[in-house]
Amino acid sequence: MKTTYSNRSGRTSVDSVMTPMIDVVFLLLIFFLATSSFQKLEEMLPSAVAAAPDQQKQGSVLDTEPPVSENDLSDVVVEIKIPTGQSDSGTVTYVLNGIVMDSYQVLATRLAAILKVRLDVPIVIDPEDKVPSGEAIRIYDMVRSNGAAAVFLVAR
Amino acid sequence: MTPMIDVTFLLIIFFLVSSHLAKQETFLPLELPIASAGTPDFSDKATATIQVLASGEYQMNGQTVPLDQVRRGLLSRTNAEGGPIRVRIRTDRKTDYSHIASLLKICAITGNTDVVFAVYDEPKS
Repeated sequence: MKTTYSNRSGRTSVDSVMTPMIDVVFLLLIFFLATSSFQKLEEMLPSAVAAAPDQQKQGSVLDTEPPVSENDLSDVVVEIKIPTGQSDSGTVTYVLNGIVMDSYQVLATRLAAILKVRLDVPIVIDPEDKVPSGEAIRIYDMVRSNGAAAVFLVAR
Repeated sequence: MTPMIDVTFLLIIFFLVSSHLAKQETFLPLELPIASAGTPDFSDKATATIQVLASGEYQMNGQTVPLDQVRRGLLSRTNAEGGPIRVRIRTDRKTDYSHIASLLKICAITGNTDVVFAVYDEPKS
């Protein structure tokens, strides 16, 4: 192999010296091209059931219905509603245990205050049918990152 | 020796990369919801992925299927694995929640309580 790099007269051919380097550079180029993923990395957000499997029996867990009584403070119900007549604007209102919240910020502060008192209070998130699921998951995520132990999305 | 080592390394890299690509299923480009509490998915538990399009259509194994067939697909998958499996829901963030609600119910009915949502991490800014 060594003889490839120099010819008989002792002069070094530039081409022969460059070839292995170009080989390696191309190999590295292809390697990094192939390994770098052009897709954004997807993460997973475990649902209520996965996070707290011993909370309830399997099968019926997702069938959490909001409590009938609004005075029943053992459950915290967050309803996400679309204001009437604004179905296309993408705005939603949040109702916490029957009380309309002014903004997302207000809801977040109230929930954080509730969770400071009790972390294991069951929180039920009940979005209306037409609410974008991204909004439901945003609230779900917010409640979870506040440390809530039992968060449920309503299944219908 | 050198050419042989070259070729061997090339093959090693090729198989490393192609096995990595084979793990990625063909996924629709969806605008997943954004969440800050998401975790990277390293679990090798048997997983059924259900994609929910912005229009509310369900896709399972790359085919658009009605909700009833999603239930049957989940049931057969559960039976084939011999127990509850993980259900991964890839939903567009604009999908109406009613489609997710009925899908969650299907999961509960089929006894699959390990449901995860595919999300994107919050953009750091």
